Amino acid sequence: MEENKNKKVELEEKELSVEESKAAQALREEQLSKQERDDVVISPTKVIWNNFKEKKIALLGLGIFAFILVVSFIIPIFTPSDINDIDATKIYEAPNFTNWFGTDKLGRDYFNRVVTGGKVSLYVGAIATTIATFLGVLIGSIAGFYGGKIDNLLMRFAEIVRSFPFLPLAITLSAALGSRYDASQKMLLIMVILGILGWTGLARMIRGMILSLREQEFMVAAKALGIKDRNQILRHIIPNVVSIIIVSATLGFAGNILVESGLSFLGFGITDPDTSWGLLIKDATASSTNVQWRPWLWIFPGVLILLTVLSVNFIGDGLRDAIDPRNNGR
Amino acid sequence: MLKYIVKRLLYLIPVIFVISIILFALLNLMPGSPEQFMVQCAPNQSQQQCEQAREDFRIRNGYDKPLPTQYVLWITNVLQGDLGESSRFNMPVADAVGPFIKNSIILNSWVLVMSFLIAIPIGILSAVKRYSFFDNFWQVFSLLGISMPSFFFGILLIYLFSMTLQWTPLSGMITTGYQAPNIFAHWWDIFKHMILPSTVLIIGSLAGTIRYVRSAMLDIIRQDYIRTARAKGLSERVVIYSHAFRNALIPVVTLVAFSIPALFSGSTITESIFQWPGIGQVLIRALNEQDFSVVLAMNMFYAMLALLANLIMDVSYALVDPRVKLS
Repeated sequence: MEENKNKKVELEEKELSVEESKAAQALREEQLSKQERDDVVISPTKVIWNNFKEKKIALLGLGIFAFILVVSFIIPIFTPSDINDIDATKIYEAPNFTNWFGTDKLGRDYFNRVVTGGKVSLYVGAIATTIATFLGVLIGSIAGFYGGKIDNLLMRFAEIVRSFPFLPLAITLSAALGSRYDASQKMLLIMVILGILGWTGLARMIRGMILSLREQEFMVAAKALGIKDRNQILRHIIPNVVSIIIVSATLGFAGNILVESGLSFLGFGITDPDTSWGLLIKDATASSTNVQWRPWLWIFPGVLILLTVLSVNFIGDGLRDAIDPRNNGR
Repeated sequence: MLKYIVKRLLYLIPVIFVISIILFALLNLMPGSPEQFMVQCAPNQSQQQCEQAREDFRIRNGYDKPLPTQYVLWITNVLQGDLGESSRFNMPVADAVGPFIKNSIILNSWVLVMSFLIAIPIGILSAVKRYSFFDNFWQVFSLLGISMPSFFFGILLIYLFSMTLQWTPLSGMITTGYQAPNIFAHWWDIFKHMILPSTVLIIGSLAGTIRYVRSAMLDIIRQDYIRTARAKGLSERVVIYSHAFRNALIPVVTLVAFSIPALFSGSTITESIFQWPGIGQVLIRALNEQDFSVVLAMNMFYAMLALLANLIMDVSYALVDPRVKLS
């Protein structure tokens, strides 16, 4: 009984002192000017953002990409019309005020089709990147964390996947598997193909990082404390490599949009009735008359692919430099 | 060195086997069957006769056997140098694909030479004048090159230079119906057809190469011996061109060596835009026409080229850099 009381008093005293010190700290912080405070407390995210802001070209990329997202996802809400609205009276009209991007061979509004195609391209790119990133982190961290035979086996496997030239294999896979699926499943198939071919680079990077992290004190401590393997990886290792993952995902996203449009252009990607930027260009350039006399049919989707991929690459490049300034321009 | 190369080659054997098994299994998922293309039914043939002919074909080529047996049959033939028969060309795969490889080599060797000739000086100057306007310009340019969809760029060039200005031929490799009076005229004709596709490919590969050379050079400039050279009071010219440049060439040489197998591989998209009769187009046509043996052979070929490129890169690294020891 006595002991408990004593403890309680002690605790209260402690709490008091904690409160006191908090108050003192708050007072001190108020005294610090804003500038000084920025110098003292600055989170890693803030550091990265500050570095990123320095890069004009990266900010430009962010702006362009945001604009493309707004046009793709917000404008269609206000102009509801079906992309398959046929108007036989305005076939192959050049861009004008009602049809910003002109019309196609069935008199369909081309702006609408390009925006819809863009959404598909962005979706496919995003999901393929998610799959690739997930696989890369999973396989890379398992290989790096456990080492030995598992590491050897996984890395040999990654080497085999990597040794194939990307595009021919993607085309072959798409042709071999594609015919059994309908259009919407085909879109999923393309995402999965891009995902399962694209994880090797990230896996190698993550593995390398983990191999060096594993030797550091905080990991030895985590191990000594008996923390589960899963938590060691998820709570202690992943936060250390998250910046690399973000950069790799950004650049991978840009690459995947490009590959998807290439596949669709060759006829091994998205197929009718779905549409994507690559498919629009394929349809537009099937006849040389269209290439020469109706350039809006291929220029608009082409410029949009370029702008999207370029802006995402600007962002990724800026992020990479912001995260590791020593690594400038690699 | 020799021991190392032999060891690496031996290690490649199981890898190639694994790849061949994966590819073989994968391609058997392809739609259609070879006999439908190989055995055309004549109009005067009855349905039954036709089916019989197809069945004969299946049995003759072993397509009726279970998949593992088919694989063993195929791989034994491949090991003896027989890649199978192309159902589209009606001749052995090697003979059908050979001429297209030659065309790809013509285009790619020009691209390879030009892109290194342009990229190496730019990469080195970018590193020396880091953060200057020159450097920033090429950094942005190389991002632009990475982001440019090759098919869009190709069509843009055709639109501008072939259709509007009519400076260059539209597509193909030689002018149809044109009889070159001599060998020079013949090559000049090919060269004219090569300008646009090679521009697309050069710009595409320039981007990566410039960045690679630049970062190799930046690594070297950071080294202690460069500081020593400067501290000795050597002029900046000597430091850069005699001390740094030579060492920066080490990774560049390995990159060149790594690119050599790519000479044979062709580029699917660019070749199909410009109708360049190269190996990249063969794959697309083979896939569209379900030419099973060609698709299989091409994918094996690509995989082996890539594995070879890796080996060449490692070996050349050891050859040019005395500090690297292979083990």
